[in-house]
Amino acid sequence: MQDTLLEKHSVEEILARHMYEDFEIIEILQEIQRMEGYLSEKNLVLTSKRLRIPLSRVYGIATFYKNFTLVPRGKYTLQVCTGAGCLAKGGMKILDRLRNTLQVKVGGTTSDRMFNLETVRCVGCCGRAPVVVAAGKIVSGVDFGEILEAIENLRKRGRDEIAQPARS
Amino acid sequence: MKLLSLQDLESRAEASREWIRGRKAVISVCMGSGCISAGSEALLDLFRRAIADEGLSEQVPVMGSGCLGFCGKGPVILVRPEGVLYCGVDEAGVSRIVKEHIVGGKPVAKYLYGGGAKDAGIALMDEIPFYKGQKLLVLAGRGCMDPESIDSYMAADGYSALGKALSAMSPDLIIDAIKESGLRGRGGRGFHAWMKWESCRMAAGPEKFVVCNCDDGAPGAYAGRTVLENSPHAVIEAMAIGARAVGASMGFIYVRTEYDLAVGRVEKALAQAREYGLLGRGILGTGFDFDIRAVHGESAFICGESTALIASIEGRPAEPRHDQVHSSEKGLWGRPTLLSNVETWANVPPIIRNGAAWFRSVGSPSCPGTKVLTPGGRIRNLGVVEVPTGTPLSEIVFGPCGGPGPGRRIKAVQACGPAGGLIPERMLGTGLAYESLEEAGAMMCTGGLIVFDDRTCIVETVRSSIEFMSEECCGKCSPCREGLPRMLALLESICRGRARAGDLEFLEEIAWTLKDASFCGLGKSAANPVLSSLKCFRDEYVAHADEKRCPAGVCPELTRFVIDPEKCSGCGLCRKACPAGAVAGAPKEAHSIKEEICVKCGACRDACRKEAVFASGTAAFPVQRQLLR
Ligand SMILES: Cc1cc2nc3c(=O)[nH]c(=O)nc-3n(C[C@H](O)[C@H](O)[C@H](O)COP(=O)(O)O)c2cc1C
Ligand code: FES
Ligand code: FES
Repeated sequence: MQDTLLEKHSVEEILARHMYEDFEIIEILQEIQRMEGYLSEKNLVLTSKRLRIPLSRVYGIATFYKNFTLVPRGKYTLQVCTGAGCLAKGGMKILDRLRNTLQVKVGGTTSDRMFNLETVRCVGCCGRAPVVVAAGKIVSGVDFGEILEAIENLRKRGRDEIAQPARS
Repeated sequence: MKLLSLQDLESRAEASREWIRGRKAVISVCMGSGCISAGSEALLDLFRRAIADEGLSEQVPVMGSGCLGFCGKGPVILVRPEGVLYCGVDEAGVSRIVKEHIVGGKPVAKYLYGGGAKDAGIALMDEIPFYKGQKLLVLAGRGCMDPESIDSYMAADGYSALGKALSAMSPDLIIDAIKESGLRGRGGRGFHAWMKWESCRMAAGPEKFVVCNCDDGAPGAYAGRTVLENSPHAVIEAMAIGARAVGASMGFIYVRTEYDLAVGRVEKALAQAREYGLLGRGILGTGFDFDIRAVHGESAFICGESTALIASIEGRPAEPRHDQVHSSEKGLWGRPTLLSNVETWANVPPIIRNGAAWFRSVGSPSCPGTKVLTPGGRIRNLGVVEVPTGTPLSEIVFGPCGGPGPGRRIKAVQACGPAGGLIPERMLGTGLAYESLEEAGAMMCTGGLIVFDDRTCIVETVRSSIEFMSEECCGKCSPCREGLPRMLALLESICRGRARAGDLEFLEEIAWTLKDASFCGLGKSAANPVLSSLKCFRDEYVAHADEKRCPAGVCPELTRFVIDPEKCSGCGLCRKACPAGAVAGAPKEAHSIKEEICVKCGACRDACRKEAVFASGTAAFPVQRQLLR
């Protein structure tokens, strides 16, 4: 799919930027996941080798913290806030409707690999509840139409990017 | 451009002050998370352009500001020197404000608080009820300080406390000042700050660390993050002062990586401070070396616990350790570590600058100062407030927060997010201080203050708190790991009306076990909402368990919605609000709800202006049933 050489190169880069310091492992894994979307076995092994720590420790970190995932996920993540502030303002209704519209469970990925549907507990924006975080961007004071619009825009962007991989 | 001495620092600050002094007006656009999500970044550009079009760029600078507090009304904009606050500003508003107010000198009523086509509204920020009763110490810079600019912090006397601490104060004097001020930790159970400082100073070690805890993992509690986003430099300055006092050479600011804004601002502030020589080697020409690293933490509630946070910085799973040996003696990598909450840190520079006596004059004597709170839930004004400690909760809920929505009553308040106890309405006289809150079964913590009205189900609220705690449990100790899921299952069955005899007593017993036997504060505090609600709202539990009704009309399995045909005016608001299309009725005629498709969300009840929608289970319902017959 992608240029594996290049890919290896950049994981190596991340490791080098962190000076192979083992205490920075969490940040290293965060960066790898941000780049690749998930933590592959190959990269966990590479991390363990480079940092000179047992694979079990790398695996331990990758499974302790919930945000790390060992399987590929969708391109964008939609997080519906279910913090107390948003629940009081109808966050659950939004979640239910998204589940129906996208045909996906919470924690699941849509069949086109475009969206992950997740919940998040309070993004510090209760003042404008209910809140949905769409691909890292907070959409606040939402009505359902606005979210659908944001989702369709993302889907379009995602398709375009897949058709024409962005060059950096 | 490195500042090599105290004189350098002062002349630089003076230059920044001078720059602001000569201006006709300053427009501050709120750059807090709330307002950014409402589009304030675009407004900042638009304002700059509009001001430039008028040829006023020199006289009227446009700057970003930290959260102005009134997040529920964002995007919020402050025009100084008058202090006029605009709410809900949109693109059209920008040119009107520039043309009519900045050029014409007349505030635009449409965007003022309470303003509109006919109403003049309230122009001055200080006169808006939301801002009354607030006292700003750590958020003092809001509206007049750009969080991304070190010069703007220095114009507000920033870094002068560090200058003072390095030039005129010995470590002992610094600790004495903290001791005299009576500053107590804002992140947990209110430890006396000076005790930690003292024991860390006394501890022997080849190197020492200072750490700032900005995990802020409790939903609805984001005081720490707001402080960090508003004035990252205050935290940096404070940590340098702390490091000087205890003899540390390295600091860590722990922020969750998904708090993009906070992370970005901290990184930027660190770079600026290094550039000015306020971090690094030989700070301000003295022999003091100190630097700070921002740690991008993972999101786990347990990371906020001090020993777990330390484990996480060390690159290990965030599991708490026994805190028999205090981190101030043996913390990061076994070295003496001074760990405090963001807000605690942010109080340090003003204390050093203005003296302990000044600090003691604010708030309650047992715990002087202020507390930043992030009120949320069923109140009119949501946002960020800072009030003196000791302020009764009722004054906060009915003052800045504006009380409940029209026709509603406050039922309870949950301080400190899901780990906090529920404080019933009759106890709202409780003052905002560690001891009094703890007595009421709650905690102060990181500033959450969720308000519930009479349409909130207490059992459901507790259930969702426990659900959160159970997801966040790190699994280290069995009372917490096993107890939380059991409690959750019990609460779920109560909410569904499937409770069996003895369930309430069993729930209470598990909660006490958690409180007594859990390893760390997570499990111990998880018992708070359960125990406090069982004490103060037992009747609601009994209604669910024995009478199979939800007195608030929330739990779907126990609730049915009915429209009173006599009261219904047929306005159609409920029909529009219903997500399921379950409301039927012709305009101007009484509507009705089709039970088969109703999803029990209560949107119709919230939408109705005539109080014509009733939920079964609520006190008013039986009367209603009579009517229907
Ligand atoms: C489960 C749990 C979560 C915590 N979360 C936070 C947090 O998000 N922020 C914080 O400052 N303290 C948090 N604490 C309290 C810390 O353990 C610690 O007491 C505090 O940071 C000390 O700082 P202070 O003395 O300035 O209050 C948490 C404690 C527990 C048990
Ligand atoms: S509860 Fe949703 S942003 Fe806080
Ligand atoms: S984010 Fe603008 S007022 Fe809080």
